[in-house]
Amino acid sequence: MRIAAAVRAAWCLSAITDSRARSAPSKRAAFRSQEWNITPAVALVIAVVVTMLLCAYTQTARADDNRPLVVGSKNFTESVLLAEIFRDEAQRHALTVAHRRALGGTAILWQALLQAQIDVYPEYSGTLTQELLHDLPPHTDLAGLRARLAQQGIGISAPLGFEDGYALAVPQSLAARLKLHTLDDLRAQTQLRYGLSNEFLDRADGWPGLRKAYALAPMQLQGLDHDLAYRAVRDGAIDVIDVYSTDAEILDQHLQVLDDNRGYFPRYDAVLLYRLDSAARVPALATTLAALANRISVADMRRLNAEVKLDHRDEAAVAAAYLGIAAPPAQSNVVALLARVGQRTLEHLALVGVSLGLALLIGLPLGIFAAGRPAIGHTAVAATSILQTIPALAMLVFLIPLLGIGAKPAIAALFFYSLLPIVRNTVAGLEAVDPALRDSARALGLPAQVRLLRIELPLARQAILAGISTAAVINVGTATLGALIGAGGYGQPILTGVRLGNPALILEGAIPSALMALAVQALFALLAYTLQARESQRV
Amino acid sequence: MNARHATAAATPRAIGFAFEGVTRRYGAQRAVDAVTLAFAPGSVSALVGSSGSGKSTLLRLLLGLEIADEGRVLFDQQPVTPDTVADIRRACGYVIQSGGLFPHLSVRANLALLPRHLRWPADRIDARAVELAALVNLDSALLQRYPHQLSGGQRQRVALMRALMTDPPVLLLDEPLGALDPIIRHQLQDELRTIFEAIGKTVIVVTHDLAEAAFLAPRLVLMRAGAVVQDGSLADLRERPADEFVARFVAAQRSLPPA
Repeated sequence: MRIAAAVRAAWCLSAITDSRARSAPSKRAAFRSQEWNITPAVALVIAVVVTMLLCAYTQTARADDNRPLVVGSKNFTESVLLAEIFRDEAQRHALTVAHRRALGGTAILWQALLQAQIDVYPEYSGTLTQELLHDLPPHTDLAGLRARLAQQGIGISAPLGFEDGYALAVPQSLAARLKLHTLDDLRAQTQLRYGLSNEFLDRADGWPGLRKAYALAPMQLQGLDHDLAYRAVRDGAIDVIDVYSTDAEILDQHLQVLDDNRGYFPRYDAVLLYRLDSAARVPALATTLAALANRISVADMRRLNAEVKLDHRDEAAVAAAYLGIAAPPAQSNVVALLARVGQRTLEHLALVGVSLGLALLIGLPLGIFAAGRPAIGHTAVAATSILQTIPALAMLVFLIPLLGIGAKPAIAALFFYSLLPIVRNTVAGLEAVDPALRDSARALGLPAQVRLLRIELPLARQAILAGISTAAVINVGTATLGALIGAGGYGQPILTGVRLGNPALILEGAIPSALMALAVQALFALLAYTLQARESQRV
Repeated sequence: MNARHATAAATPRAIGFAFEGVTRRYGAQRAVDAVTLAFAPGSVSALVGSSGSGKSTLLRLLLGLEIADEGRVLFDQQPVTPDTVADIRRACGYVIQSGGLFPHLSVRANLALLPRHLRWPADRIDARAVELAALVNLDSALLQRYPHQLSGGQRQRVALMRALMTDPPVLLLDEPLGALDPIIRHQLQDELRTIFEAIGKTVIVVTHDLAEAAFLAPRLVLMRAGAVVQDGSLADLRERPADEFVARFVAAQRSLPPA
């Protein structure tokens, strides 16, 4: 009974807008007119929530369409470029392809491919043997990979023509001074400061194996984002970084790549992975893949990377120029900017709104149920606290096998993060209700659900609203991470801006995100104020 | 339940209740200690004693806000149990010292809470509110206000109105005038006595003020440390105090020194 009441309480959250005058028609008018006076703040909140739900709906509807082929890319320039090149080449074969760009790391792309969220993505042969297919020996050839992948319904293209392997690099000046030529030379120089990308630190074919193979024992080692590592080594903050052999910065920043004299690193031939069922459905996919075989040299790739990363040109334009086709039409800057920001605002609102709505549906009843039951209350708050401590990226990777990529796993993660403030404040707010008032309500002979809806929830309203407001503001910020799994929103330009070292692009996401957080906070403050005013200022 | 509502406007049947060897413990402390008391239908009684003597707990036991550890509480010959407690609460009007008015609801909404739940039509609720406002001397214009916009005396009048909205046969008042200034208190004592005489309900008033108790109720139940020390009229307490404590309690009532 209490639960049923709680669920009702959740949706007419405005026990809030105050169920003061519920039933009874006619003669009540005198009392009712003021009691049902929906204030602008309440109307605004309702409008925002409805908008969010609509955004979410259209988003879903789009995903369910009989969609065109989708190529995914990892969150680094080369991957985005290769996906663009694939898309442009496909266009030549009369095949329309959508590009879900910069989706995060290998795990996310691989899961997305297995879940048929994407049809194609650029990968490297070494990553397959080292990271994804643990049952294969490290130096399996292409035929072996093809046979193994086919078991999972995945195809592998011919090599694209270049290798992008892992390597360690140091500044040339340092290499000259310490006479560093090979990885073996690093062993004696334990004072060197290593700044390695997080993925390199974690993956089996990365740092753990390398350290063993060369018996390296640096005294200083830290994990960094790959793009930040270049800046750190340029600024002299670190000495040794991991690089990809096609990175544009190797030449630009005068880095020396150390020779893998023991042949530790496996080959990283660039290939395209694709779903076999997609190839069966769309014959032009195979011809596109064949056309790209052996097409791109290491020199080409390094130059393309440099054009994007160092000359700050758009990936789509660079890819189109490389294939010699017309670049995508450029819109007027302001119009394009507004359109982008508007689209991302809708996506962001949908992420925040839907996750918050779900958290209310679950969190409010949970808080209501837990209030006054210390054992359950502590358990519920502890459980939601634990959810809060899971790093966002880890949470997203966990969720992909369940929910795929895109908005759904992002919404689920935000939902989990929203629970704690809502549950905790609901419990605290209800437990803070004056016991004399609670007893007065009981002594009146009102049943539990009426007491809850008419007395206890309205009295706890301020605390509950504060919790919801906190959750909403946190969500606006955290939702930017949704871009890692293709959920869109303001995180998209931030992620791209960090990748390309483009502050303007970072601000294009960060400023609207901050504004939205402020707006959400202001909205809840206005709502609390208005509700307060309705009670105290009326005579 | 519905039968009672139907007759709510008519003169209700008076109801009696009794405590049979009731004990209520908080940890090791006995808030109510083996109390046996009966209250006849239509009687007006006062529970008197210092704070912590257990008199408020007796009311709470009757309303099922507390459950007896030992003994039985009988309401209209029915034991107070979780099954009967809803009906019992609706048969009782209950007023506490702070009024217990809900701050987020207007006076009228406070009054309308239970009647609306019982599906009274709005015009009936309004008519009853106006009728009770006259009974407790409250300006009907104040019905639109919120509790914090009222004086302490007005709040207690509203609390009494709320307790009487559905015309319950029993009225339980827990230090109803405890927080009021002397003039208002005096005035409300007069009004309460008139009201008790007019409404013909079974009434218990809890107060630590013997003079107030004696003014409002012919029967005084003096309590100390959870137990009944003496049960009788003011004359009984004065002339035949059961023990030293009763004599001291009576003597402790101060009157103005002679001019």
